[in-house]
Amino acid sequence: MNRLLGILLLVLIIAFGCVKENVIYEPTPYALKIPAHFPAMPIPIDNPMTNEGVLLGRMLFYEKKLSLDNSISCASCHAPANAFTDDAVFSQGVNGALGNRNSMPLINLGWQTSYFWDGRAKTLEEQILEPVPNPVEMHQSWKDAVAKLTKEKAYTNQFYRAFGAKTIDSTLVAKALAQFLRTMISSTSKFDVMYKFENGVGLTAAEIAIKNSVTPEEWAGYDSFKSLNGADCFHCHNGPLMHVNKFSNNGLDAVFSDLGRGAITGNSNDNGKFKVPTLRNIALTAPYMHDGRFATLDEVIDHYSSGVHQSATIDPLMEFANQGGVQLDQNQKAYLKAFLLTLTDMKFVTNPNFQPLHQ
Amino acid sequence: MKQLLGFFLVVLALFSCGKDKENESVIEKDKLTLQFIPFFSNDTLRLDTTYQLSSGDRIQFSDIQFFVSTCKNDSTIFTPIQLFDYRSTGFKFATITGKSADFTKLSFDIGVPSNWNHADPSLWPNSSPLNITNAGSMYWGWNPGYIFMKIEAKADTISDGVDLYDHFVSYHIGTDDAFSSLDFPQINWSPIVNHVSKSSFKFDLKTVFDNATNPINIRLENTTHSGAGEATLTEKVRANYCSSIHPL
Repeated sequence: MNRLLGILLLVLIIAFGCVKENVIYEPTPYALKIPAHFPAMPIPIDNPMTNEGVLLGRMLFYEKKLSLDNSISCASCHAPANAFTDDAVFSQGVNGALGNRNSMPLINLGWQTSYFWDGRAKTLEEQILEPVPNPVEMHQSWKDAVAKLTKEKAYTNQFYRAFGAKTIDSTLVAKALAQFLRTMISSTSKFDVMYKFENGVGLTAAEIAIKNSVTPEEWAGYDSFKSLNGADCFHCHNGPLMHVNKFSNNGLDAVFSDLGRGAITGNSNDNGKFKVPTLRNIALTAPYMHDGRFATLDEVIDHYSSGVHQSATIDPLMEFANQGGVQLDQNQKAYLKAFLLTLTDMKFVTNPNFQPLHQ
Repeated sequence: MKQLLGFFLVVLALFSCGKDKENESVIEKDKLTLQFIPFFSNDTLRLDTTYQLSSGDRIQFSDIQFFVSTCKNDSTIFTPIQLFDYRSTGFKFATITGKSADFTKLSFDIGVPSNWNHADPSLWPNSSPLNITNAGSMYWGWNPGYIFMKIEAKADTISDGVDLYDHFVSYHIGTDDAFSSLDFPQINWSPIVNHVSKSSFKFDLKTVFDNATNPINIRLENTTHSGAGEATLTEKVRANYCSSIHPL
């Protein structure tokens, strides 16, 4: 009997000894701080944010093993040094493959209702599933990507901590990355102070100092931005998020080489329409438009001023399209550019919580 | 053995209680669905499709949206605030739990009440159409406040046989002065499936433009954002918009 008990005890000791480093599943809810002038962020019921999930997402965001030859990670085309995009017209994937759309900056994604320039993904989790197997991006099957992660003790442990999962799969990878991306909130630009001041949201002492530093040129640019007879930008870029959730043809071409939204819906009325992007950090995210055709902000302003092309699907809100654009003079252009520069949020770009874990 | 038998009896009693509760929960409640159907004269209007105004100008509508607030029968509220967005949600307006006998007449306002119109648009819950993320382009940053009623369209105003829809029509009607109350003394509900009844309003876009007493000439009156210098057209569009909504 004693012998039997001894064997049982030994088996139990070995069994407990196998439990890795006391890895436990006790997820801590992540305290997401929503800025006072922002709406609440919708969080999917099936992917509540936890400290463990966000940390895992951050690890995965910088993980090059997600690509076929371990050469690129999400951060390769969405680098912190480039305000979470890259400076190429088209991003380079595995083996030098080039895409056909400009990389979009990752800013305030938790409030968006569609993803990619053509809006083909309706949720952040859905969007994240695409780049890994895409031949012009990471070019690796999810099966192989998951197999690589499964070999890493740090990942198997963290997936267990985050989801209580003993098996890693693509859905959990997407959930973790989505949790991390939802933490990437930009709300501390000079524009934010201007917006709060304008809308009667209380300012801190530091923000009052920033408000007092806003130049007359920046205010004039903001006025023009919102003016129907000025730059007239606000129809598509408004509110604290600096965009509206819609698809628009902003008059880039008379004939479309890329159908954009139309290729997804199959509706010719959507041809040439693309997702309206946020203007936050616009000065840091060149080149511009879905195909990266404009290298500078000056070129963008020139387009809206006098380079607009008519077409069958042009947005009716491009109200001055039949005269080529809103016709800004040099001063108006300079003021508008001065305002656009106030959308730069360096605190967001350099936030240590968004950087690689081990630099 | 007796103890075992007793245990089974208790289990049986518990399961039979559960069954009763299940039966209670399947009782269906009456639901009411209200919808708005854009028309062009007698035809259901389709976006991005060509229609002809009495002037001969041809027009393609690209966006039709409006806010409806305090939809009610006397003190019985049907829905406090709702955004009708034809491109995004089609005819759909609102479905509630309720009885048709309680809503044999309806009144509602086109627009957003002043105290809501000027509240911080970020503070509304995610489920509210007034939340800035949901309101989207129906919120004005510059006003500030909401666009109450919107029509966007493109028109071909030159009768040369060549399709060229390069004349833009953009009516964004808002500000507190444009808040408009409508009253419909008789509402008919039709049963569509068990416990669900439907009622529809017709919104005739033709009469917004070809109004018998207040016609709009889109060649000259093609844009208003309810600014200070646009009061005449703003009021014309507001009046025609409201008079073009009727129970179907």
